[in-house]
Amino acid sequence: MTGELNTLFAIIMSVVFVNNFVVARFLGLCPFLGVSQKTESALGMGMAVTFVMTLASAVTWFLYNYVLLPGESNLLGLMLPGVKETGTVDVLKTISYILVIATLVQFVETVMKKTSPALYESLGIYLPLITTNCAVLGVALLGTTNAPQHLNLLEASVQGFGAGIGFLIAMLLMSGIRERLALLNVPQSFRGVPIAFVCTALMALAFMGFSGMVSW
Amino acid sequence: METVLAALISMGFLGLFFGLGLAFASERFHVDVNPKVEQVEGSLPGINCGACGYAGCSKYAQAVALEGVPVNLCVPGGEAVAEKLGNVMGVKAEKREKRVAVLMCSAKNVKDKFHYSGVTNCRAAFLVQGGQKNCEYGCLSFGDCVVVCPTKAIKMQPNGLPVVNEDLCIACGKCAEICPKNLYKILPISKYVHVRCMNLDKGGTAKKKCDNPCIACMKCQKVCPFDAIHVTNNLAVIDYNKCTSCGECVKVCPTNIIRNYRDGRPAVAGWVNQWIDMAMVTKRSPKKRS
Repeated sequence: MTGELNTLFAIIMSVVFVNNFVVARFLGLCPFLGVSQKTESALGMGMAVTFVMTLASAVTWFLYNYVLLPGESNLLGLMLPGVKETGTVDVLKTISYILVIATLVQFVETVMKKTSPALYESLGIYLPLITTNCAVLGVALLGTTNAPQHLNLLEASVQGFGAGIGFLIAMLLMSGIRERLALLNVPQSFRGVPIAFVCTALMALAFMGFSGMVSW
Repeated sequence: METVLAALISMGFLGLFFGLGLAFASERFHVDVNPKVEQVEGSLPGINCGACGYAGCSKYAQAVALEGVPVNLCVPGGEAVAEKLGNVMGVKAEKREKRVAVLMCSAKNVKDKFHYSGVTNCRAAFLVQGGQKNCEYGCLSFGDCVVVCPTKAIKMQPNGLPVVNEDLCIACGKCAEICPKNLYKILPISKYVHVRCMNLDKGGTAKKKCDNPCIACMKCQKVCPFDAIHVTNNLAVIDYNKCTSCGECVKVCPTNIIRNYRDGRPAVAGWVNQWIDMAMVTKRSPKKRS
């Protein structure tokens, strides 16, 4: 049990700090730069991404283990026995993950609109933006095919949640910096996105200090 | 072959499953939207610029359809969109008054206090002791406003003062933003009369620097029937909420800086004159001070 907890802790530390999706893996830079103008919207976007990432890693874990992966558990193997040996990981992982994530986001949005209008108001405009966010696809891939070892459902979900938290932290840091930048006398040609990229690079350098802290 | 078949089957199955799921969800969790909101949103440009003060077109559409917010707030859509929204909502779109940029300087014979040979734009010149002109408050004549104007409404005159073409001006405020001396004001076009000077010096000093300064003689303040013009800090300032552009101050201004400066405008209508007479009567009648 302790070993399991240690693993989960290592996963969280890894995806939040050491292999932060934004500043170490450079995934999801589009919403990171696009929605980090204000702290409020950065928070909303970060929460929405955390939510979707957690769900997406859980759902894609099922898809991976019961549809894509070769072996006895493959459900397609019931119909086509040959698939049990080969599996369909190589050909289907990207397209099926995108399909799952897009559907999931759409479904969550529809349900949320009905059941909790307040949450829909606060996350609503950000949810559709996440549909094809590469960070979400990245977390799905890293939880399944590209994981260093085979993860169980809990580990995959925790990794998704941690990746979302890492994204949220990066967004909040960046929005704080950009709110200050807006008041500074930045040279004309650097205003807006260029100086934001410079700041991102400096943040990435700072986050490199975590590297080697967790071996995951 | 089996892989292809497996891909076809699994993707087809997934697509069918998800499609049915979404269809079921949209039916089961259907939320009724006021049809007017959709109609209003359809008429808006949909560029989510936020100029109306709402976070995007759909928010403004909701505000119009549900809360009765005025229909004329869409800046890019202009009157055409306001009319459309008015038709949808069954209200008449009130016309928004056109506004124009007005230059608050009428410098005449202002000498240079030193020879400036730097970069030829106002902001650069302003960094060197506030500009090369003798009058610290007046136009520097390099024409940053001419360059920045998006509709080319501002032209530089030979006498070194820019002039605004009011037909072309869209009141974007770029000139007001770039002018280092803050000489532009964006004002309603119905306001005829302006104090075209920003000089805060005392009368004598101002007169030495420029042939057309405000010398704070108080004549305009005394003659104004509406209590709309006041001399503060050696400068006459018009309160545009009270001003009716009657032109009394224009007649008395000794340095000719208060001007009904838009030539060719229709003269003040007769009823305004009656109004002025009434106001003068009340002003002259003795008042008791408590």
